[in-house]
Amino acid sequence: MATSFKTLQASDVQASRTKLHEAIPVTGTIVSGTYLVANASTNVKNFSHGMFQSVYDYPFLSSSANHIFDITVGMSANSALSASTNVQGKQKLQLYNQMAQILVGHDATGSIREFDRDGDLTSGDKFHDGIFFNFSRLLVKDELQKGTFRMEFSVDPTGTYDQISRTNRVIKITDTSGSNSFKTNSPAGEYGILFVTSSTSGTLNTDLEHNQGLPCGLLYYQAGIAVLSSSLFKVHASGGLLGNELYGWGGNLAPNTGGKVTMSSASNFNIDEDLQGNSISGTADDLRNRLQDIYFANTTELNSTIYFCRANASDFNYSSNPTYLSKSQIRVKETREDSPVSYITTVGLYGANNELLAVAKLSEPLKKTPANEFTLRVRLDY
Amino acid sequence: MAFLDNSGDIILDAVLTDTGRKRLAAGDGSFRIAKFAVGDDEVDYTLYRNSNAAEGVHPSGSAYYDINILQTPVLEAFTNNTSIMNHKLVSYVRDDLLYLPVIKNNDTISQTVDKNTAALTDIPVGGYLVTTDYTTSDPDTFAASTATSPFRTFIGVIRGNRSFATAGQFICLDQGIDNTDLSIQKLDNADALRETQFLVEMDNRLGQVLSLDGNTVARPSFIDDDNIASYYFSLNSNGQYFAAPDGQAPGVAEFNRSTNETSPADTFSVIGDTNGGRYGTRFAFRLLAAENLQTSNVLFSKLGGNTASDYVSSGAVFRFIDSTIRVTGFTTGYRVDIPVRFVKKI
Repeated sequence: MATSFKTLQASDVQASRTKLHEAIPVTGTIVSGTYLVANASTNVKNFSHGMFQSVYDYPFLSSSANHIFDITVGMSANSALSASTNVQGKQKLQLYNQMAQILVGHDATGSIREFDRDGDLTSGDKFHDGIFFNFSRLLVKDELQKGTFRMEFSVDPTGTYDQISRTNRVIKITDTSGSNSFKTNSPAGEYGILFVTSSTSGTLNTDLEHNQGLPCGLLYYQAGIAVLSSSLFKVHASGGLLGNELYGWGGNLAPNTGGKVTMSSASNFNIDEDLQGNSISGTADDLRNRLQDIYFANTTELNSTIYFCRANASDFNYSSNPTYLSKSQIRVKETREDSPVSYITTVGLYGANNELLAVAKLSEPLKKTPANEFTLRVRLDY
Repeated sequence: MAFLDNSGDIILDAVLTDTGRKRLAAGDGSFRIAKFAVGDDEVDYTLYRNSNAAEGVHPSGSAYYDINILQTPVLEAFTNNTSIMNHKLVSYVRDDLLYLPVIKNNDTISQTVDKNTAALTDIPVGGYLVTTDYTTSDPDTFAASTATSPFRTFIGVIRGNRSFATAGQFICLDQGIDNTDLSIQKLDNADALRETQFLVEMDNRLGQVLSLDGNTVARPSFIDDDNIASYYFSLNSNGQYFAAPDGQAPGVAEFNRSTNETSPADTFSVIGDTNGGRYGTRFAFRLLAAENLQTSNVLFSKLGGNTASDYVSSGAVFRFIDSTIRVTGFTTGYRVDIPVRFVKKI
């Protein structure tokens, strides 16, 4: 009996699950838009509703542009700033509540919880103001890989966006403890605490409490959202994390600003003033221009079915290829005693009613004779 | 599709076909891989340089016979399920086979349109014209046309309208070993080289398979996402599509060695010649044009066009769609494509 199909036995089909990680480096020039030619279309998209700003890796009108992340800000009703916020105040409140509702959830009374500094929702400090970086699913895939996140900001007090100011006084935000210490009490999945460090002595307020630095935000791994506290851009005397002395409080730097870390030299706003008096997209502009780079690794959970297609010695040694025959005689055989030879380039996986459901191609023809056997391992990922 | 990188280790590039994705999306459990086959679509065995090769044996010896084949670049996988796995590798128990069977369109029993005596242009050479509606299928329509027109000679015209279905040509295929080195014999029923199952694939928008008596419209096993219908016929359960002595197809000459010992060849066989050849099975079916082609011109506008005036000396202009009927021996894997042109008189 001739046959061109071989039935797959139960032992020929195996399911497996693997985690695939990709490194995602995002350079500051993409985020700030400075890599683009002046006056060309921008890779930063603002919307008429003004609720957030989107960053692409290429001018967003181009079909080849990829969405990288969105930036927005919000503040809770308990924020000291909310009462006096006069630009997009309702929207900032709405955004904080929206993000908190999704990422932190509700308490027993149904009220929206606020972002918690150490993830212990029962007590402790809350982040009343939040800066949100929402990374696109294209980059995050299934989740951010724990312990890989890094984000660097310039906290130069002058607020100018020149190259020197950008590289001055850089703080590094990481989730260093994420790989072995993360929280699970969020309705949006697992999250880790973000810590800030700086290699420049005095940039941060105190000596490091421990190797991980000072808590400054939260990173939601499955949601792909980083929540930063506005305290990152404030000196300690103003309730922030930056060193007093380096920023004019008792030191000799930037004395005219009296410890003010100016978010933009044009507006002369510090972060609180920015949140109160600037639009969301304006604040996003200021934050983008302080960003040095972002790096993380994503995770894709691959569920695979592996089909072991076993071509035994007696299998598939002849071909139905029309060039295989010349007047019905097999070309590759000179005499009846010669071994048949065929060449495999393709593996087809079929349903019970012979529908071709999947196909796999070998990168080069594989010689098949009665003297050899192959197990072709075809993996389909879902 | 690009070529696969063959500079390093052998890699396997696997994708779901469009039909596979459709079945997966259906979520009804119809996506279940049950078997596999292997193919060699890219391979040209004429490059195998043994003593059978036109170029002659490779001067460097047998280790180099297949050097050109092994260097063949392989394309990435197509996702269209009907565009790939065209030629499957086949398993036979025996390793000492020197001849394998083929399938040939029998243009002696059911003459193709190019068999007309007049030289015709713009015709499916080696294939058939398939009339789609009553008027085009009715011989009276062309009573005044040139005597050598296929619509008068009835050569190479399959009447696709049900009313005339049994009057026209049909598709007939002979299977067997087409080599005259072998004496004329009928392959034994138990011979692995004898094909007893055929797969017919055709565009379901254009037509269906009809039994030779014109009474039964065959049911496709499945219709894929590209409207290609696949029909399976086996000698055991569909004997009416196989000629005697294997089956009972009405109106199709028996496929057997003649009892005349001095002239044992089957009169109508296209396998072998008067001196040699091994006869397998003879498979035949009719075509029924789709209702949509009979009543509407939309598909003609979309997929086809109009012929020149006085097409094949008929005195008429036709709408037409060119297509292919693919017939594959299910176990032996050999495949033939028969060109057809669906026509409708304007």
